[in-house]
Amino acid sequence: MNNHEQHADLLELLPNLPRINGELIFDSPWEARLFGMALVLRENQSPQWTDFTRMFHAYESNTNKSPYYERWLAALEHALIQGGLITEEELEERAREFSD
Amino acid sequence: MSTHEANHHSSHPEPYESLRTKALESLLIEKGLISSDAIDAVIESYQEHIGPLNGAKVVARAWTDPPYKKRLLANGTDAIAELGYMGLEGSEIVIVENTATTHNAIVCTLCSCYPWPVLGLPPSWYKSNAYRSRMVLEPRDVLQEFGLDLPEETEIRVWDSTAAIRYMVLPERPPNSEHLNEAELIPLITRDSMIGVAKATVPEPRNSNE
Repeated sequence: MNNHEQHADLLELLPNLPRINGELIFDSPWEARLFGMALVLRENQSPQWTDFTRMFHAYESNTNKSPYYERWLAALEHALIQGGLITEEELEERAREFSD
Repeated sequence: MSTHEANHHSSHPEPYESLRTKALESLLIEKGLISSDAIDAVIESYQEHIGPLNGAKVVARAWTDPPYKKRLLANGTDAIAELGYMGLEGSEIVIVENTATTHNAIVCTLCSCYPWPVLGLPPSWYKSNAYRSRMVLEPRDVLQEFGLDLPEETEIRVWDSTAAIRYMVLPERPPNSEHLNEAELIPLITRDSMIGVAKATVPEPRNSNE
């Protein structure tokens, strides 16, 4: 797949990606990092990408909608923990270290 | 204002989402599953190619560099490649220029051919049956629905893209933009102005006290 097909494919999969004038918009730097992390999993053809999109869609159909990239974060954490790549405990621990 | 400055380092705790994101990234890097550079590259790729930024850069160059504009109108594909944008095998890009008397717009009546190396991905309405058929039959009405009221005497030309030839509109440089340089012009050049369903954005008048 070339760049364009890859991008078109992503929009098919995630049609509600926040965009203005066609460009992706990130309200905070963490949203861009989070987007990038999930997309690297996709490039690496990691099974966690598929898990992530499945969970993200489950959150999207949920009526209680939180902001877009907050749902993205929840889905990515869930996919990585369930896939056994990281544990809930080390994630908590690392986030605490960063907040100090 | 000054209170905000003073508090900047002490009382603005980093948001939960930001901390969790940093924690995720650092763990994935530590485990060798992802690299920081790969994340940077992916973000850059999507920011540059999913939207119309490349096209806006081409237009801003044409507005500020007359010899470039001449080359662009003579051979769009080559002039766009000069700025490093390629990737359209077997098809050329033709640039059509808006003037005070002629307005151009693009459509693809067959499917959704679009000059994606410069404009990124098409908006969903570009692929709609309504736009594809009506833009050719009644362009003035369609443009009006987009909020673009053209004088009766303006000639409207609609260019039907194909797999072999993709068109892009070179919008007119807006009034009040004479003092802006190439980089400052870029934000005025919207996707819709390069499809031809809008004009480039007119900048706020310059403060006369400056």
